[in-house]
Amino acid sequence: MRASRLWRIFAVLLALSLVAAACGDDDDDTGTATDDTEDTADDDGGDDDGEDDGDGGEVEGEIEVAEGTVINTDDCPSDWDPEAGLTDDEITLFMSLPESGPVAALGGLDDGMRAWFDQMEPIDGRTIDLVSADDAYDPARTLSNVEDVLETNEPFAMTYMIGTPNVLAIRDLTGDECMPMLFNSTGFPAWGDPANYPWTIGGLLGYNTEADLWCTYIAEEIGEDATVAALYMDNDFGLAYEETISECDIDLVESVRHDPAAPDVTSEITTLAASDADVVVLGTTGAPCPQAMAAIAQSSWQPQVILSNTCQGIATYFAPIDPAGEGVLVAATAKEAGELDDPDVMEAREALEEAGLNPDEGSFYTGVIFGHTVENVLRAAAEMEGGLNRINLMRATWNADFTNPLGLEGGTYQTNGTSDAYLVEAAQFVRYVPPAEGEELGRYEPVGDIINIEGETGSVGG
Amino acid sequence: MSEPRHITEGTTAHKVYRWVPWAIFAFVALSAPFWAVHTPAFSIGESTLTFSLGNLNHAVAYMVGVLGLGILVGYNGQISLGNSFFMGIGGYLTATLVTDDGWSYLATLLVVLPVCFIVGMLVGLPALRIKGLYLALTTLGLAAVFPSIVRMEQLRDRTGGANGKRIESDLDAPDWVPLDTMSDVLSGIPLVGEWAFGEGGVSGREADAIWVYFLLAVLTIAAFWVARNLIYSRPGRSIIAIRDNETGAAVNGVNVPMTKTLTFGFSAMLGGLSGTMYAMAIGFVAPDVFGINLAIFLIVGLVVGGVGTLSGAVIGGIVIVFVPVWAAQIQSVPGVPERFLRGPTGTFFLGVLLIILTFFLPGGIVYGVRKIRARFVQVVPDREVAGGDEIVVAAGDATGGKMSRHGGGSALEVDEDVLDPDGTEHGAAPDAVPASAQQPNQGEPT
Amino acid sequence: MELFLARLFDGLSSGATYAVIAVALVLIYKATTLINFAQGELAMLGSFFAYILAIEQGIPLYLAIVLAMLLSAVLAAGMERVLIRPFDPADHLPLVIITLGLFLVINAVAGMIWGFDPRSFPRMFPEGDVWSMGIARLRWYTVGTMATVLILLVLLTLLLKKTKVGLAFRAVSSNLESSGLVGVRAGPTLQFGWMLATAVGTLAGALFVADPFRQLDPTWAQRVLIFAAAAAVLGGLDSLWGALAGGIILGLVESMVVGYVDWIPNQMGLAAAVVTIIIVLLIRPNGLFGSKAVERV
Repeated sequence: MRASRLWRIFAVLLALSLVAAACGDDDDDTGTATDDTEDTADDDGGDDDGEDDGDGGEVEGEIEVAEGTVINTDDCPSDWDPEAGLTDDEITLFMSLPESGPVAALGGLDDGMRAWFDQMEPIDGRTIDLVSADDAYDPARTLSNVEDVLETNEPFAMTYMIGTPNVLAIRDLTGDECMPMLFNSTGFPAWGDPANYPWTIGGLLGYNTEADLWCTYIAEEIGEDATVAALYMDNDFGLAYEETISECDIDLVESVRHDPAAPDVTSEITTLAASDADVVVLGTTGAPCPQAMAAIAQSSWQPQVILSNTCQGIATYFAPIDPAGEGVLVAATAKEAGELDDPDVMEAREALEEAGLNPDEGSFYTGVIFGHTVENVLRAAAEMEGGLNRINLMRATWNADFTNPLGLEGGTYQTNGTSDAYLVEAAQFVRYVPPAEGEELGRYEPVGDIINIEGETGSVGG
Repeated sequence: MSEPRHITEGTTAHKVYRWVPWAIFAFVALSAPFWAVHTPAFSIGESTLTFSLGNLNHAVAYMVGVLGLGILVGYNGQISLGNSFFMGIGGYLTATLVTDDGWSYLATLLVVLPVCFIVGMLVGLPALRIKGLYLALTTLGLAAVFPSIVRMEQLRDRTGGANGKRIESDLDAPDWVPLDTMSDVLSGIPLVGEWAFGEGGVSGREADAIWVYFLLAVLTIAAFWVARNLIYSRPGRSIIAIRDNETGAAVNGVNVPMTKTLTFGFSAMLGGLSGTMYAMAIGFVAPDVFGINLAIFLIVGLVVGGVGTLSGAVIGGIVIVFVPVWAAQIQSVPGVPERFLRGPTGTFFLGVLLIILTFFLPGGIVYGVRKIRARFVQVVPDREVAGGDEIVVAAGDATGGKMSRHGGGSALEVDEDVLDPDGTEHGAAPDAVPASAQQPNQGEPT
Repeated sequence: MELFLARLFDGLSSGATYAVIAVALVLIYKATTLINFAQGELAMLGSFFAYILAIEQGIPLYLAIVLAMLLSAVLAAGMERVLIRPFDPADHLPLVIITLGLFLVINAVAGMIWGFDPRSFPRMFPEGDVWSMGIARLRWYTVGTMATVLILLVLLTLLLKKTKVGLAFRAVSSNLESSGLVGVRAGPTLQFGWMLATAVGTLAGALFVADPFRQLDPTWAQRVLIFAAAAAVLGGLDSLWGALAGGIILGLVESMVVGYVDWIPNQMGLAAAVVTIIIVLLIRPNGLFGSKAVERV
């Protein structure tokens, strides 16, 4: 009796120790050689103060921070402080993101941003303290996180909040509280509305813009009579693509939506394959990306695949299915983490590795890209008259003109109030090339020139 | 172990015993929003746990959802896991009526309650035939399907589709509610007033949030009151009889199909109310909010609170909201490497909580509380009132439930008394005591 | 014709994978008459064990899977002993709650340990098709999975019908008290049931993620669980072969009915499955092949 009980306990311990041993596997470096890179200047501030309206420095009353963009501090709460969240040596930023739940894969964004913030030169003598909270992609929790932080530790600004429903849930609140909510990490076009919501702006290439780019590419490069099939994830994200694609001037012969919680998308791909279209666009993200690519690669249907740029990460989405991703086109908006010959990319990788994070895994690298954008805008604001305060921050945001070192070569990050309310409007089509013999990861090859529709998309509602 | 103190029924001590906890609870309920509106934060080590009014309102909304589930599962024995489906209906109906048609929030209840009741009854019809685990899994499937329904093309105009729907109508505190005064009064409490309630006076936004709390509290009280009256009435006894022994109930004249379907409808109605309350508390509805995760969390809340109790739903609502929030706020635990504190910690803690509870507090927190209380105080019937036979059923069991005799006669009557705040219900029938919580000597014949 | 076959093969493929997870659910149900919420997560854990053994320890794939099955069986034995045995097997509520708690815990822990990035699981079957016609492809994977399920079912049926252990198992699942009276020890037999079900679950998990179209990540089980449970329910919770039938039917409903019936949008696959279950259960409340429960007064 005793013995068998002991045996059982031992067996459980054995199993648990195996599980514990599994813990170590994630920290493996992919063993990339660290080149001797030049330390590129951290001061990416560049020129700014674009079209400031000359009111420079004003922080009270009705202020036109940019074209068509008016902020009236009288509408702000009575205890509003344009320098809230700032101390002599720190800038407090906040983000609420899903660290658990269905899109937990995005949970590493804040870590990536922090890794960059810890490395960069202080802005005006201040370092950035990024406070983050988990909302499990539940808008109710996003709301309560924001309410909490407004009460307990009011940040200078909020940044890169994730999820269209989540941001929609809090947009009115942050507007009422005159809290800058910058660069929402969703491509929903409604964020480009400075006339009505001057305190918030989007930070990703709009899904509609990306879909437009796809349409343009198809019409120009593949042929106007090319038949197109489309797969959309059935949620805010995928359906944003759908709206634009259905209005495009292309021959859409078949389109299918799939349940975001579905175990796989094989039957959807079969339906699309039956159409034998020349092109297929994958307006989906996460696990379905590699699933769809694998299913298509192995079928007798050989369309040109165009993939959402949210699945851009090679290590995450292409490596597991190599070489099935060959030839897939993506409208990239930034340099990829695997571009080891690019000094800026290497700098980002080093920053991540210093922080103990694997640059090829998860969303850490993307966090660094975001971190650069935040840094740029903060520096621009700090150089304005009056120094760093929320009004200058919004001036810098709505009059942006900088380059992100991890962005595309030749890409610009510009805004101009209501004439150009979108920050990221440049993309470069790239084609995936699977790893050659001896290589671990594939890479992207640019196709054509960078497409820059800077300033062409205006803003929502004029 | 010392003898528990015996309090005789009908004495002043008994009245104190029964009413004081209610009074305390009422005071806590009334003052909680004034405390939470300043989002008190507790620092434990490096972590800061907050208790915000937004979360509190969220929890109150869920309490009614757990209550609805509890009536169906705990008192009627139908294992339906689909109450989140009805919450979703309620939430979305309110969202669209308020935003698109300009109704007031409370007016939408006129639509939500009947619609959910009817849909609930419709769902209850197949449930007459499908039983036990089959019913559980089928209703779980129903709950999982709700987000897809909301995202359907045909409904997108009304539901906002996958992006969710912001409800464009804020609940502003009306001027006649003396929130400022109340806040001042509470702050005026010597010693603790200022520490707990701040300096008194509430700003506009704070007042609105507190007003929402009171609206929700009133709705919750109404829901609990109706539920309690249902359970303690004749139809309520039929409901419970079906749970305990369906065939026996049928033999004794209970119209089983009707009762079961009506209970389904009633539970769905509470679910719909909960959804409306959610809409009032959060002001935003999205498809995934009412999906399978909510269905699972509702069960968790019910179980943690206590299956077969009404007060358990209060605890359940709080647990569902606050455990994930606090788990996410825990930044460091001595001895645990940090990477384990990111990610799905809320789920982890809920799961661990469930397992621990099952070992130490089977039957949920409410039962645990009753057990502990029974160690200290027990209510004993007044020997002089019992005429006729002088058999007094000893009060000795863990739950404190017992029967009392009224006057002469041999019929044992169940004392239809007020639901005690301590949960000790006079009369065993409304009490659902899971087998594992009962003392061995009360074993029922198999 | 091509499309019809393509859909047919798709349905068989997904149906087979639902079936094999459903078999694990049915095994637990037969032993304990409870639904084990944690079964899917245990299967996911088992698939990760197999992955680690195969990829990081370099063990040949089939051996790795067998080892993973043994490991997870051991884990299940421990779980049963520590978490399940203390409770009265007749009282379902605490047991259901424990399995629910395990579901949440294992789900969370896997996410915390391994992160959410997809990984490529080694192929169990040769890639490519046994037969194909245009877009209709009968993949080796589909054939392999079906074959595995069939062999598994045959072995399980033999185990239950012909061996002493199986006899004990059947006794316990049929009547717990009486089997105690005739000398069958409920504890160890139930533990055996758990071990068996978890091992089958691990095999199911490995089969599921070995699909060339799928990747391994900690969330696959929670997505599939509802379908596998639906398959088990459809076939009858206490019928092993019913699980296979239920899985195939469900897979076919998803691919054929949803594919061909225009007014059912594609993303409503789960809804179609639920409706199917409701219809079937209305006609046969214990699933297609489940045994009727006798209600004692």
